[in-house]
Amino acid sequence: MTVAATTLSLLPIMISNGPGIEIMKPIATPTIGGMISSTIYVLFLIPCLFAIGDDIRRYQQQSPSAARARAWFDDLRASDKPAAMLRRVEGKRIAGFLIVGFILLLSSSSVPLPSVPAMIGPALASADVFPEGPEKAVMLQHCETCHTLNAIAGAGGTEAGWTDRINRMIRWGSKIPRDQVPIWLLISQQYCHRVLNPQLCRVARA
Amino acid sequence: MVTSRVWFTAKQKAELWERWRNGQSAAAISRALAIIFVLLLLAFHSVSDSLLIMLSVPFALVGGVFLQWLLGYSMTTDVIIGYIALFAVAIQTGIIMIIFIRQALARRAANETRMDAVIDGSVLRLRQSS
Repeated sequence: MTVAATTLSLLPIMISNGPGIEIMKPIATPTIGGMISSTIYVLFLIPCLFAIGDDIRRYQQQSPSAARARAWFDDLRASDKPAAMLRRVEGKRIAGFLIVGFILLLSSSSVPLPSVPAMIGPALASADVFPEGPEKAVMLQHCETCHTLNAIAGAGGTEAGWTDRINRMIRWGSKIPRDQVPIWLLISQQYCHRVLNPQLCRVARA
Repeated sequence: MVTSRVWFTAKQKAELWERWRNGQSAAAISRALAIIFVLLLLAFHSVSDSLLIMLSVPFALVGGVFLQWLLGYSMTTDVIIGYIALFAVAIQTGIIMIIFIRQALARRAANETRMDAVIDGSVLRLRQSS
């Protein structure tokens, strides 16, 4: 029920095709797809995993080797060994804190740093996605004051969606001349494979 | 083609900044998952239950990545936000399932096996009529 409610309520975003909807679609896409596959897990696999856990528990009660391991563990718990180990470590508490802090620092640093050539290569190549010409000059002049051309290349979208976006940018203060419409055609043609509707793709190419 | 001796041009700097920001939002996923796991531990007092619920995340990821690949969206910040929302809902359904099974296990009769109780609980979760 929960899953059906979530998926069905997000479906209108996926099937409607108006201007401005391109911004909502990327948010809805992984949610819909993931709900379907995670339902399979939740409804079928969790009971199975519970059953497997039950089997493991029964095995632990019956098998002699597991009983031996449990007896060893109980002995360890009864003996003085863990307490002695703790006492020995206690003197080195500061070193332990430092190590733990270092590990946390390593794990929380967001991305593994790629090598410098690997970073520069795509950065140099991505601007060449758009063909040279007066349209690219316009884009370089007006779009790059706020964001890189690569941001345009990664966005995708239909012609209507791009017109909407451009209108919004002009409202926000962009100085793009409105008569440079062929750029948006170029964009939707270049990234036709990202456009959902192949009909729109053909319109853009014509 | 290097025309000047500058290390990074302004455009490349903007590009690198964009990449770094995307990396930050990707790291937000792992942070969100860590917070979710700690909250589950606090709520259930059981590592195995929490792990079982957290296991729904990779399964949700399978469907999400598949649909994203099918529609051809690149990994932008919007998509990452969608993934975080997806994990939230997937874990929520997992929690409901675990709670139902735990309840069924708690009130099982003496002659019932654990397996019967698990089946009862999951069937109750599937069609909630009682």
